[in-house]
Amino acid sequence: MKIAITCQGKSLEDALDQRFGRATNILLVDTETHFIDIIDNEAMAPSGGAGIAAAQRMVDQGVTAVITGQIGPNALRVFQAADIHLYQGIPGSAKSNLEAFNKNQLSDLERFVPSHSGQ
Amino acid sequence: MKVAVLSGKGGTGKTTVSTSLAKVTPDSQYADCDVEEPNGNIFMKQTRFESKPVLVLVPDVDDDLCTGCGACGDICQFNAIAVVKGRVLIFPELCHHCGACRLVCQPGAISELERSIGTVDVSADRSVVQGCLNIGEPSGLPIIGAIQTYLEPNRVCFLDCPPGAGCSVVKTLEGCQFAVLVTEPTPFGLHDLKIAVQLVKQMNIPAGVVINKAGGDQKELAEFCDEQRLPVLMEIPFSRELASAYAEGILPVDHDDSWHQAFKTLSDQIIARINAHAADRSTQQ
Repeated sequence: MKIAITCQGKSLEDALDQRFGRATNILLVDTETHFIDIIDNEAMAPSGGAGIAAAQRMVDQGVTAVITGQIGPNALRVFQAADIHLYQGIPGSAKSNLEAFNKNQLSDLERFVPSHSGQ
Repeated sequence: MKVAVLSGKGGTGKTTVSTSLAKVTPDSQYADCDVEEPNGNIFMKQTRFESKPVLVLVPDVDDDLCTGCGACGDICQFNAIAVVKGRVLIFPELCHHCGACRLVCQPGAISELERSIGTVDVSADRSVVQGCLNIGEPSGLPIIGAIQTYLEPNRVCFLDCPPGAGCSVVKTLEGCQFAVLVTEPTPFGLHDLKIAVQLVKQMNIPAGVVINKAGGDQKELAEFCDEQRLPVLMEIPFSRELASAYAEGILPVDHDDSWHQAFKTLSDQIIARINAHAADRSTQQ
């Protein structure tokens, strides 16, 4: 399965980005092949709707789970429609989040924060 | 004849200047284009308003006709449409009402619905026109556009701009023949004045400066105006008395003949500048 982790840098050693729509990068990790794809997310939606644009991208990429810090109401609506599972990331590197995910230690991310919280 | 009053920085005195100008100019119109928080009528004191809804068009999808192709989501420049598992999700508050999604929809599944985003309130004699954006709406541009339809070409109209120099100020400035730039002698006032000057120059609108809360060291401000060839049309001194009267909804022009005269002179000067500019342009052509 393919999971997405919002990340401040471009490798698994870099820290989790708390923001979803305005995350610097989104790392796509294939849990079987361990192949990592980097999505440069910063310039995606300069005029607004960043959460929706990033969520649409996750849908198009066939992601089944997303690990992030906070999610806005619009992105949440897209993920719910797409049945993509959201997990509450823990402070630390993308790698430590991935390990916690593999051990089923991450809790569900169900509550959303107000629009534009990540700006 | 349309005169915009803007400043860049908030709290410099746009409303003081624009309402005062409207009060001393016979048969003029005052337009409050600060649609997120219109407050000009506190000073204009009109009581009878007719309120008209401002409607915008947003897409609506007929699920029976939709094939889930995603063309609408691809064309939308504002991320107002997501297409998930063959279903279209619409985010109406992000929509900019361009209609592109309806044009590209091959099966014709998209129609447009009217949505109210606020009101335009017009006083009985049309001397005051104000826009009011609904709470939570992100863009007041359609309301500013609607306000302008109530401004009459044979009356002098003073448009009270929103703060800043963004889209809503640009929208207010469209079609104006003169811009009054209100500033204050502070670093923030000057910083934002520079941005406002860039904007009016780019839009090719002649402008002049009113210095509010004047006094103290104004050297830097005076130098900037000089360098930009911006006429300083008026100075309103820093005064605790004026500020406390303002807090009670009273303008200097309401109770003081000399202030009434000073704003009348300002108004006459602006109108003369607009006429001179128009004459210049016609001789150039």
